[in-house]
Amino acid sequence: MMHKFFAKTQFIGKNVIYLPQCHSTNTEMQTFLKKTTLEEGTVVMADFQIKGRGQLNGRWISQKEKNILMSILLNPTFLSLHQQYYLTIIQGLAITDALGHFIANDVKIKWPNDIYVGANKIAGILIEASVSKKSIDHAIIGVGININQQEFGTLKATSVLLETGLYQNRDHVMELILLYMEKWFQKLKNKQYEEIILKYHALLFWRNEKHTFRVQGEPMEGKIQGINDRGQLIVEIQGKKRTFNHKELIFIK
Amino acid sequence: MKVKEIRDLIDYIKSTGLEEVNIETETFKVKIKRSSDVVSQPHFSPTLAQAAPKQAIEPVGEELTISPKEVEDQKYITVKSPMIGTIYMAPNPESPDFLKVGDVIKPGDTVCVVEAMKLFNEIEAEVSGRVVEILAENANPVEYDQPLFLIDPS
Repeated sequence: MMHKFFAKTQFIGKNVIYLPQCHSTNTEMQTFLKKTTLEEGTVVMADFQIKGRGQLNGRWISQKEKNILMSILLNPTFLSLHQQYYLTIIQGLAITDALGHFIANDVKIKWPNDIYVGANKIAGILIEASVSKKSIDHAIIGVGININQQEFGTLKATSVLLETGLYQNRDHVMELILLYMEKWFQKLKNKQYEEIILKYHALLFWRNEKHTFRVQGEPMEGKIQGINDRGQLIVEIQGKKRTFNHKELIFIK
Repeated sequence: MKVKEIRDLIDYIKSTGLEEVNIETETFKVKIKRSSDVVSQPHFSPTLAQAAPKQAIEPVGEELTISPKEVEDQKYITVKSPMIGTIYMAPNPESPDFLKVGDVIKPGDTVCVVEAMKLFNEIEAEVSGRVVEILAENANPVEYDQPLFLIDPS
């Protein structure tokens, strides 16, 4: 095990656990947490994941030493369970902010929190929180970002390299992401909800555009309006506003 | 025993000439006795009856006594969903469920995962006891305060 640390941040990335390869950085973080106490901001990073998880059963395909695969430990004990979707939102904002330093094209957030450039996914986020006595005890933010990978097979995916033609130092991009994560986490702590939602809406993929969605197996035309105070997606379909949970609607075209 | 079943039973007894019926199983004991020939519809709310069968079931025309055993349901602790989302009973599709009926849990044990906006919340037990019943189904939406598990703390 090798240790690195990031100099510019305040608390995220002061303790970094580096693993050449692992099953999933989120799982590793959970394992460490069972054995010991870790300070908030601890980062577990890997060069390769054998069982990287995208959602519960999805798999994240990432070539060795090409991308950023990491998990960050946060203790958002100040958030009520009803507001916890903000935690999802701010991770999307941090990654789009950081990628904006390299990519000229629009980087968008596909609800709830996949990061897209055009029609291709560039980053994914998976958060696992532990809830006891109706509040969040800790949250593990799992992040996968395609940096220097060129081949994605049939997947609709892209990388910083594919978007810009330039290879990036992964540690440098990582530090930038951690800095933005701190920035948005601080805003959340300061209860700057309005600013967070405004920014999220501005970055929302397909917002205010006519597109086709699948709802309960039926294709429907609609326009994404934004999210409500539960984090659900509001879509205007045939003049009526409807709200959806994750997986209740599929983006088609 | 469900309210509907009690109601059906009373209706059935009405249609027969029986004066008194006693039923006893492992979990409940019901005694229904006809005290007059007046046949009127018992009126009780199903939700109330489930929570507190004693007050809810009014003897109207019939006399209905329920032994303390029937009230056992109230001794169980209901673990409710702390949030809105989709419930998962296992950490992933290949793994066994966090809980099955008969398991003994203690505070801090993970009982299920509730996902909202791709944030997966491991829900920890606050009580200890034995799992009596699992009330939610895997990969289904759950509401705030929806009962998920019935735990026998004794």
